[in-house]
Amino acid sequence: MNITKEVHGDLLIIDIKEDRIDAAAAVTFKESMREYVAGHDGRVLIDMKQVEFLDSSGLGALVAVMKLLNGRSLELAEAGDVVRKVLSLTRMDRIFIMHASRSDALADRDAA
Amino acid sequence: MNGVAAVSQPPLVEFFAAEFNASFENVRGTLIKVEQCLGESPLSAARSRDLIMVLGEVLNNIVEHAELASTSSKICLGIEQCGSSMMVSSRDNGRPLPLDVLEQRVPPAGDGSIESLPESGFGWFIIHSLVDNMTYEREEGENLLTFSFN
Repeated sequence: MNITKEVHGDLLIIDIKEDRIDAAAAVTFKESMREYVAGHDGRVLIDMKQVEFLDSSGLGALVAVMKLLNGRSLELAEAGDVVRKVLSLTRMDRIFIMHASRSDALADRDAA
Repeated sequence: MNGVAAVSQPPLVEFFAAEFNASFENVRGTLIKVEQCLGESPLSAARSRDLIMVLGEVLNNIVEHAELASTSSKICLGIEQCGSSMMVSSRDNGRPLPLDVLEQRVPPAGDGSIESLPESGFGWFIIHSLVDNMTYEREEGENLLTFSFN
């Protein structure tokens, strides 16, 4: 799975360079994310710009990632139309911290 | 001949048909193909996205049930256009679908704690948020799901 990461201070930014987080990809996604967030103690942001499709399995995988963050909320940036629709239908957009853009997340010092 | 006048309906035109082995990869591939066709449909871009979302949840649910069966399951998907509506039907020879999922109209939720956040159960809720006329029949060892979308 094509995922990259950057660290900015206490903020870990994860770039998903895949179009779809769906049932076919959910297990691999969770495993990859587990490796990336292991040992990181601060904020975790997933840049969703490239993700065009998220289904209920992908949503479950995001929830699983959030449970790895020791009480912090998982942050998502640049969610596209389908991602935002899935999150709002399921009310999960109230659980994750949603940022319109990556730079909003970088500027936001109060999200932690 | 009875006294009831025939109601004229738009013709049913085949729009998309596919048969595939039940797997998440095949569902993904089918959704991509349907998406490519939907530009020709009467649906708006937003409704097309909704339809793909529903189809994905329905088909992936069938795959989940199929994986419990002892033999590999096949899914037949048909989409027909009827005027401005799309009529969707799927047929599969997997295990019977549990009837309670067809009623799932409340989103799964935890008790407020992060540990209790649900990781599954969202699929049927998403389906019922977007579709209100889904029917399910079990007939001769097959599940048959149908719904319309416009």
